[in-house]
Amino acid sequence: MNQALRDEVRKLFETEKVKSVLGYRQHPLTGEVTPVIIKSADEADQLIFDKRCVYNLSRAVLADMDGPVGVVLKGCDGRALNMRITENDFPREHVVGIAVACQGVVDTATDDLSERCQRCHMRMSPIADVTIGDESAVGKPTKTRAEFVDEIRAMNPKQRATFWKDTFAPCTHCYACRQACPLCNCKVCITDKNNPQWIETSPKPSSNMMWHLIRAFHHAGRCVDCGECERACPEGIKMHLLDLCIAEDVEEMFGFVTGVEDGAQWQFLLYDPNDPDSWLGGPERG
Amino acid sequence: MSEKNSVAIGVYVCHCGTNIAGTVDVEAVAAAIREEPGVVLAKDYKFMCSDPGQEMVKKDIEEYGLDRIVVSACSPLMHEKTFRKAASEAGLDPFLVQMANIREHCSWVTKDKEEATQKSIVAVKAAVNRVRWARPLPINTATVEPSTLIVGAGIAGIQAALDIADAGFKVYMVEKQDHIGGHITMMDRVFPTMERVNDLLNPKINEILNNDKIQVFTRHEATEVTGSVGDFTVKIKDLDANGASVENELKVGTIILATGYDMYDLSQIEQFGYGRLDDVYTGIEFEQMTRQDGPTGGKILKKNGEEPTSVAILHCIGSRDENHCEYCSRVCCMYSLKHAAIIKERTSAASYNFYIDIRAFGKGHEEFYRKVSSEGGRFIRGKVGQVTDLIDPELDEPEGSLIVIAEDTNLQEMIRVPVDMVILAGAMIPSETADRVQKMLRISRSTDRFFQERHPKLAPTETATDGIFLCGTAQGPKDIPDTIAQASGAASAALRLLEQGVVELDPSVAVVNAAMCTGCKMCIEVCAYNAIGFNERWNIAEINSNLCKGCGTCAATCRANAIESQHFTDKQIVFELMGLLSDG
Ligand SMILES: Cc1cc2nc3c(=O)[nH]c(=O)nc-3n(C[C@H](O)[C@H](O)[C@H](O)COP(=O)(O)OP(=O)(O)OC[C@H]3O[C@@H](n4cnc5c(N)ncnc54)[C@H](O)[C@@H]3O)c2cc1C
Ligand code: SF4
Ligand code: SF4
Ligand code: SF4
Ligand code: SF4
Ligand code: SF4
Ligand code: SF4
Repeated sequence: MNQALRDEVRKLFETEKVKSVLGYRQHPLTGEVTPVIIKSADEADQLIFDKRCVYNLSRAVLADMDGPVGVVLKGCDGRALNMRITENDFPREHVVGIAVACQGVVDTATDDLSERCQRCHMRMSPIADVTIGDESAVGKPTKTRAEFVDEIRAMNPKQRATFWKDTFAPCTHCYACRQACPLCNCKVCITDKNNPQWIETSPKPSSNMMWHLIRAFHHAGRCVDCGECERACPEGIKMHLLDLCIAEDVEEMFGFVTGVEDGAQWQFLLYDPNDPDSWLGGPERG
Repeated sequence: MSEKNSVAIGVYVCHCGTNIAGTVDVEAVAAAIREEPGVVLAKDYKFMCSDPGQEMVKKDIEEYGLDRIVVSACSPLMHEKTFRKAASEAGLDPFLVQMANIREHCSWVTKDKEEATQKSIVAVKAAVNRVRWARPLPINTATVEPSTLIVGAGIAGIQAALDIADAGFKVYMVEKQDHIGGHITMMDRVFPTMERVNDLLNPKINEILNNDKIQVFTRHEATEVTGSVGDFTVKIKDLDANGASVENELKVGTIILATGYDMYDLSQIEQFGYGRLDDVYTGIEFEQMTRQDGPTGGKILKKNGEEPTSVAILHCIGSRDENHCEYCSRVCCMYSLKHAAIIKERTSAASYNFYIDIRAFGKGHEEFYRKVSSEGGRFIRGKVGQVTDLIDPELDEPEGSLIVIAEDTNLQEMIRVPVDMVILAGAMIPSETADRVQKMLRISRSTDRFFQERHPKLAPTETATDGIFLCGTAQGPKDIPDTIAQASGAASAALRLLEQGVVELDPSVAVVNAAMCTGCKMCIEVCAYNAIGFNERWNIAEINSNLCKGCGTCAATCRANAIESQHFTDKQIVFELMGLLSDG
């Protein structure tokens, strides 16, 4: 895998298909796996891809980078990149997708397969200008998304309110979850606006709830389940469960999965008179 | 921006006679509000909208230097304009006036005086909070290009064109067919007068062709409309250009939509045999047969060239039918009677009208119905179930005839009527171009799929987009007199703009904060008024304030918080909410 990746990246530089490449390397001193930007074929030999490559590199692509930018993409990263292109963060030509056959990454603390990968059934990036590794060997999910959210969906509104309040309680409003998210691409986040101030900055039940509800709504139909937000949280908060609940609803009601198809993918902007709207007495969900 | 930081708010609590004061303790409301920061005075008064009421506001503005006004009275739909005008007469920007609706929202919804008073206090606090952050909004004007585009040159388009050209303005007509006149050019006579279409239409067509203010583009369709009221740019395409795209660009101030109707495809309703059985015709096909220049030279003939001995005319085919078109097509009853009259006049055939009920509400229609029925036309009340060529030999039905099977609801029995010609009064549907036109103009259609007027009663010739009007059967099924009346209405609505020469633009529109926009284009996708464009150079959305209706959909969609509605800023809304959520 690593050799194939390095050869391919070298070729991309040599044929002038890319000006830089975003990938992963093992740090020569600390041994940690971290993202890296390389700018020439000579540097390709440091690239690696394995189960420790947890970062979603699509987050790191900037419109004013010297492009085209090659990006090493797992399935989830590719879906996120796809959404960023849909949302016009940069044009498709700005990136060259280096899709790697992903068999899942680990939770670096425990070395167990991470939760997002347990339920992931789209392990190849939809953006794949070159493909590295054996697509047929990516393996199947061991869990469904429903298994993560069914318990919450079964709760009554009161139980749910308590559940979320407890879930968000340790939040310190550090916004690491936002910084990690490829789709939190706003120039000024709503939580940083102070005139008027929608979300109080000091942590307390009401402001925690406000922050996490708004954050989740902003991701409705956009979140690709890359799990980066949860991985980033220093408090170990499972705030992404709320995105998952919405994603489950969206798929159930509208048959829509974010980021997997080419072209515009704005589920929440499309209106169809036959959309389910059981709350208005229209067609039922499903 | 005003130089001083503090505001001077005047609050007026209206009694509305006893409408409000009967249930709300207006004095208590005024007293409670008087303590709010920024409130300079709070008064209650019998009728705020009366001349003395308005005078009081004007006088207070001058005397106390008020720079914000709250009127707690009825719905803003009722009197916002009144108080805005009064304020501006006293030199205050009209957008610094806020209404609190304590009548419809408070006094009229409960008899409980205490609750009504409490809720009124909260509503007025919200209004005071909101108006504190109101800003003066300059009203811009735009000049109106002195010309009109008319899409579709049926009788509707023709009438509108003549009215506008007669008033001295330039008219461009775009018609997809090679001739003008629309559907009625396929007819010989018109109900209820039985006048010849040529006599009605030809003078109008001549007027159109000889009027140098009117330029007609036959075999053309509009393909793109940009701009806004007063200043539309229209691209039109030559349909005969065989792929070579010959496009023209027109500049117009107003647009009138007169795209008319088409007939529902009756082969979709199999039981009547249309398209399968000989001598089953649609109403329009029969009309064509009646014309001197038609396929039979105006004679009523069967396919084999013989005159029919009996003709069945079936009403409501496809109309008033849940499975096809739910609505009534409004002209079928009358043109069916016309068909019976023409059959009577030109043949010796018997005619049978099968109807659900006869809708003869127009001027002269009932009289026409009486005349036709007294002259021997047979009327059978009942909806036809089937038309078949399978004759029942036991019933002596003539070989080769068409059997109309129906339930006679007067006799309450099934009947079979052998005839040798059938005319189907099919439903009218919007023009086959309606989807394209809707996309191009971004205007709405009602559930029947015809184009939607701004208001069914109060604005029947306008669309929701300023400067775009509609008339004729594009808006819904109707006969020629109604079409003409609506066309003249649309023309005079358009003329109002053309004659004024300028339009005032409502400043309560949305604006994009360029520094915050990420260029995702979501707002563009959701704007129902096509008001948002995109600046490719800076990768940001831009709102055309002439087109924007201030609906706020884009502002709600933009997660990047880059859009604000001018008269509904986040700040105004947050403070208004804080007022509403206060204890009162
Ligand atoms: C069988 C039948 C008999 C009738 N008999 C009578 C009668 O006797 N008396 C009576 O009062 N009424 C009668 N009517 C009703 C009458 O036909 C209508 O009231 C009238 O024709 C409506 O005129 P219009 O201009 O709205 O539509 P139309 O006549 O349909 O004209 C619309 C025009 O727009 C053009 N067009 C459409 N889309 C576009 C586009 N995108 N670009 C450019 N051009 C376009 C079409 O080609 C057409 O020329 C009858 C109707 C039917 C079906
Ligand atoms: S979520 Fe899927 S694509 Fe992403 S790392 Fe896990 S297995 Fe790979
Ligand atoms: S919300 Fe979390 S899981 Fe969803 S896209 Fe953002 S970082 Fe990934
Ligand atoms: S939370 Fe919402 S406003 Fe903040 S960065 Fe994410 S998407 Fe943008
Ligand atoms: S990363 Fe965790 S602690 Fe920080 S804001 Fe997000 S949920 Fe709260
Ligand atoms: S939705 Fe907001 S961020 Fe996106 S293009 Fe429109 S204004 Fe810009
Ligand atoms: S406020 Fe409404 S009309 Fe105006 S640009 Fe936004 S969506 Fe369009």
